[in-house]
Amino acid sequence: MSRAFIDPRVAAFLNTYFKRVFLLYLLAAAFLVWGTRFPYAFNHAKFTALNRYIPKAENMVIFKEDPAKLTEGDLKEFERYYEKAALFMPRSAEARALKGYSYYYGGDKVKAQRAYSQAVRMNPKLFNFYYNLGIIALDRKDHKKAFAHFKDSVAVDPGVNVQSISGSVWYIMFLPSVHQPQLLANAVGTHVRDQYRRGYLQLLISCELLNDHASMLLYARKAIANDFLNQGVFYYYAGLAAYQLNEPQQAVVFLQEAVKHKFQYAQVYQVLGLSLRALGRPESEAAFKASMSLLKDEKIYRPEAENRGLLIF
Amino acid sequence: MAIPAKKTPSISFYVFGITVCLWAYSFHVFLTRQAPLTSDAVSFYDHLKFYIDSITRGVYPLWDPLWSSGAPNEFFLRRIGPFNPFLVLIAVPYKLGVGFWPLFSGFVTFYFFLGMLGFYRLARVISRDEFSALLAFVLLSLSSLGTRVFDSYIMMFMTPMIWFFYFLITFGQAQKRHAFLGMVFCVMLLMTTYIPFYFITIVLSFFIFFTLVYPKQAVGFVVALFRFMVRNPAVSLLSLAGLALCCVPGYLFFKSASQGTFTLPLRHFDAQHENVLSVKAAVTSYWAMPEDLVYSTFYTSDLRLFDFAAFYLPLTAYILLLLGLAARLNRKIVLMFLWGFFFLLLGSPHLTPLYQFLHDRIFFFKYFRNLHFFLWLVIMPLFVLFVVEQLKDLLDEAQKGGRVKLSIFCSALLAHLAVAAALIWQDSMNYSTWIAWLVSLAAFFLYFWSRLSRDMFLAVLLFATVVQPLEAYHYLSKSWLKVVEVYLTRNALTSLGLSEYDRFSSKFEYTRGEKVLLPAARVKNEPLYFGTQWYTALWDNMDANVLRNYTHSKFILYDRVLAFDDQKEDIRVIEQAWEKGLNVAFVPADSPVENLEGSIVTRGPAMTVSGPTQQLRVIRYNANQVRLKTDLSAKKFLVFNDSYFPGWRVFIDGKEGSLYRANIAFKGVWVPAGDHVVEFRFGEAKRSAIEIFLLVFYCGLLVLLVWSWRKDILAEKKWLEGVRDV
Repeated sequence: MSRAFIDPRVAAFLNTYFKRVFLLYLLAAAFLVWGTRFPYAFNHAKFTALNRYIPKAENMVIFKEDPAKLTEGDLKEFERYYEKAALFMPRSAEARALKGYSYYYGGDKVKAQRAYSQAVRMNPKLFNFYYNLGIIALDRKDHKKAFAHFKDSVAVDPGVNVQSISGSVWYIMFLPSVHQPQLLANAVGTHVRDQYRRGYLQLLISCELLNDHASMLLYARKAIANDFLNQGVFYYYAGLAAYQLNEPQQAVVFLQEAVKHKFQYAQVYQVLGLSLRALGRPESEAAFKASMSLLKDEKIYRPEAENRGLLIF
Repeated sequence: MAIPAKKTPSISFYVFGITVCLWAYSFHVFLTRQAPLTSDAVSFYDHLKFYIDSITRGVYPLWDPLWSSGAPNEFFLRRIGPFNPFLVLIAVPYKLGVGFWPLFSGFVTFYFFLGMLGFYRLARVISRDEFSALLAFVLLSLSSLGTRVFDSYIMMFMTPMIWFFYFLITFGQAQKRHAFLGMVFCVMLLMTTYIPFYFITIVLSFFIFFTLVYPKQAVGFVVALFRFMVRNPAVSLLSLAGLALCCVPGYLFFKSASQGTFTLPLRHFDAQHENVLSVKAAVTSYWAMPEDLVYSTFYTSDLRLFDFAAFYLPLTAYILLLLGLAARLNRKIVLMFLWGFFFLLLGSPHLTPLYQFLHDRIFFFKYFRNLHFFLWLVIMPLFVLFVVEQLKDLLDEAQKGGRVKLSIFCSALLAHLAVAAALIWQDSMNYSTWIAWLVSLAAFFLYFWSRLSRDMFLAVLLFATVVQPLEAYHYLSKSWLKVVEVYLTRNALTSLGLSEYDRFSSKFEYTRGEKVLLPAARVKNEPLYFGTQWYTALWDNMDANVLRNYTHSKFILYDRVLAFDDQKEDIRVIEQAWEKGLNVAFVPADSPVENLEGSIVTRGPAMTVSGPTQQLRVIRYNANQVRLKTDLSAKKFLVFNDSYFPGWRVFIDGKEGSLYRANIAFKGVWVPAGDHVVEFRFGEAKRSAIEIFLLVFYCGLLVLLVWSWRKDILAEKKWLEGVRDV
C-alpha cells in the first residue's frame, strides 16, 4: 500500500482554496514584475503612443507664446496630451507643469495650481514652477502665497535652472537651435534672464500689495544688482521702499536713477517730491509739478499690467 | 455523441435582436454615411467597389488602373477575399440596380454579425451553457471590435477564423461531415484573404497549446480526423483539392513578389529579405501590442474621447475578470490563459525576444507587419471567453450554497470595489460607467440573495454590459460627425466622397481628375504604398508636380523615340523633357534597335489626348483591357500612361505587337498611320479561368456545407427522437 505524499486533509484544503484562477494571475503578475527590468519596452510603448497624440504642429508656437489665442478645442488637445504625458511619465515634473499650464489657459486654475505644486515637489530647481504658482496665487488674491512663491522663484540658482531647461525634452522641443548647442545655450540664457526679471518684478509687486517695504527694498536692491534690462522699475521700487522706511535720502538717489533709466511715471515724481520735501529740499515743488503733468497725460505706472495672467512656459 | 446544450430560444432571440439593434443604432451615422469611413476601411470600400463593379460586368479584375497610375490588383484583392461567396449578397442586387453604399453597409453589418453568431456558437460549444454564450456574444459584439468595421477590414478574416474554431471544436466533439467541410471552407477563405500567416500562426500555436494541455484529446483528434477521411473519401478528396487550389493565388502572388516587379516601399523599407512583402523586424516592432494598449488607454479612460482603434471591452468584462480570481482552475481556463499569454509575449517584441526569435527562424514571420492585429484577432475574443468561463464556473459552484456562496459573493463585492477604485483613480466621470458598475453590483447582490432567477440575472447583467458602450459609441459618432463638418468647411468634399472607385464606370476617363499641383517649386512625393517597380522609381526621384502634370493625360502621341538607360542615365533628363513638353518618348536602351526611330523629324509638340478625338478614341474598356480606335495621319508612338507591367500585351488589328516600357514606367506602342484598332490586354486567359473556377468552387463548397449541415441536423433530430422513444 502506498502512502499518500501529503495529508489528504491538506490536499483537500489546497484543492479547495488554492486550485484557483488567481494562480494564473500571479504568474501574469510575476511576468509583469520581471518585465519592469526592461524599462525600454514600457518607455517605447509610452512614447510611441504619446507621439500619436501630439497636438497640431501649427499650434505649438502659439501655445508657448500666447495660448489665449487658441480655441477651446485646441487647448483641450494640449490638455489631453499633457495629461497623458504626465500619466505616462509619472516622474517628469515638466510634464506635470505643462499639464498645469494647459489647465490654466483652459480656465481651471485649481487644477493648474495642483499640477504646479506637484511639479515643484518633484523638481524644486525650476524657476517657472514657482513663478507660475505665484501668478496663480495672485489671480486668487492670495498675496501672501504669491509673495512666498515669487521669493522661492528668484531663489532658484539660474545656472541650475538653465541646465534643467536645456536638459528637458519638454522645453527643448519649443526652443530654437536645438541642433546648435551654443545657440541653444544662448537662447536658454536670454530666456532665463528675462524670466528672472519678471520674477523680481512680481515679487516687488506682491511686497507692495503686502505693504512689506523692508522686503521690497531688499529684493529691489538684489534686482538692481542683477543688472537686468529696463532697470528703472527696480529703482522705483527701491525708492518707494526707502521712502516708506523713512530713508528719504536713499529714496531720492534711487528715484533719480529710475528717472535716468527712463522710468518716468507720475508715481515716481510724486514719491521723489515727497522724499525731497522730507529732506527739506526746494526741488520737491518741481517734482510735484512733473508728477501732475504726467498724471494729466495718464502716464501712470500700473503694476497690475505687469501680470497679464501670463504664465511662463 | 455530444449532448447538445440546453436551448432557451426565446431569450437568445431577444438578446440577438436587441444587440443587433443597439449596435446598428450606435453606428447609424456610419451606416447611413453621415460620417465617413476611415483608415483602412476606406481602401477596403474602394477595392470592394472596384471588384464588384468589374465582376458584375463579367471581368475578374487582375489590374487596377486607378492605383498608382495602374498596378496589379492581386494585393488588394487579397484584402477583400475575392472568392468569398458571401460577396454574392452585394454583387447580385448591385447588378439589379441597388446602390452600392446600402449594399456595402448592409454587407459589413451582416458579416460582422455572422462572425458574432459564430462566436456565440463557439462560446456555447466551449462552455456548454447558453447563459455564458449569450454573455460572450454581447460582450464581443459591443466591444470596440464593432468599430473596426468602419476603420479596417479585419472582420474579413476574423469572421471565417471564428467559424473555423467553431467547426474545429464541433468536429473534435463529433466527427460530422458539415464540421469537416466547415473547417475546410474557412481555411480556404482565410488562405485567400489578406496575408494568411496571421491565421497560420494562430492555428499552429493553438494546436501546440492544446496538445500540451489536452495531450490525449489531441491524439484522439488526429486519429478521429484520419478515420473520418478514410470513411469519407469523396469529401476528403474534394477538400484536399480545395485546400490545394486555394493556395494557388497566394503562391503566384508570393512568387511575383519575389521578382520585385511591384514594390511596397512603406512595408518593405530597409528589409533584408528580397521579397517585397517582407518586413524588417524593427518596423513590425515599432507598433506592437503594448503600444496599441497604451494608445487605447487614452481613449478609453474618458469615454468622451473615444475613437477608432481603441481596444475596449465593456466594464462588465473587467469586473468578471477580477471576480474570476476566485474561480476554480480547469484545463479550459489554463489553455485559454497560456494561449493568450503566448500572444502577449509574441506581441511585445521590446519585452521578450520571442518575436525576433521566430522572425529569424520561421520564414513567414518576415511577412507580418501588424503584430497588434493579434490583440483583436486572439486576445479580445479569448479574453471574453476566459471571463465568461470563469463566471460560469463561479455560478455553478455557488449552487452548493452556504459558505461557498457567501465567499463567492464576497469575491464579487471585492471585484466591484477594486473596479470602483480603479475608476476613481482614473478620474472617470462617465455616467454610464457608474451606472454599469451599480447595475452589475445590484445583479450580483440580488442573485446571490436568491432574489433573481438565473435568466433575470442574465438580463440585468446584459443591461450593465450594454449601457457603457452606448455612451462610448455615441461620443464616437458625434466626434466623427464633426469631422464631416471640418471637411465641409474646408470644401474638401472629395475626401468625403470616400472613393476613387465611386467614379469608376464603363465610361473611360481620358484624364485623371483635376490638375491639383503642390505649391513649392520642386516637391518630393510622400513614400508610395504600392506600385510597380518602375512607377516607384519615378515617384521617388521625380518632382511631384512634373509627374502629376505628365500623368494627368492617359494618352500621349509622340513622333520620336529615344533610348534611355535606367541604370546609367539621370531621370532628370526625362523630367526636363516633360517640363518642356518635348515631342520625344523614351524607351529602355535594350529595346530592339530597329524600333528606335530617332531620325524622324518632329512636327510640333507631342499630342496629348484629353478626350475622344478622330485620331484616337477608346471603344472598349475594363480593368484588364483597353481597346482604342486610331486614325493617324502618320506613324506615331503612343504612350498609354498606365503602368507597364509584365503580363500586359498589345494587339494591333488583332495581331500581337511589341509593347515597350515607355517613359520609364508606362506602356508604349508604335501605331501605324490610318484606321487601326489597338488593344492593350492584361493577364492570360488561363489565369482568369483559374480565378473564375475558384469563385465557382467556393460557392459550390458553401452550398455543399449548408446542405450537409442541414442533413446532419435532421439526422441528429431523428436520433434524439429515437432516444426519446426508447
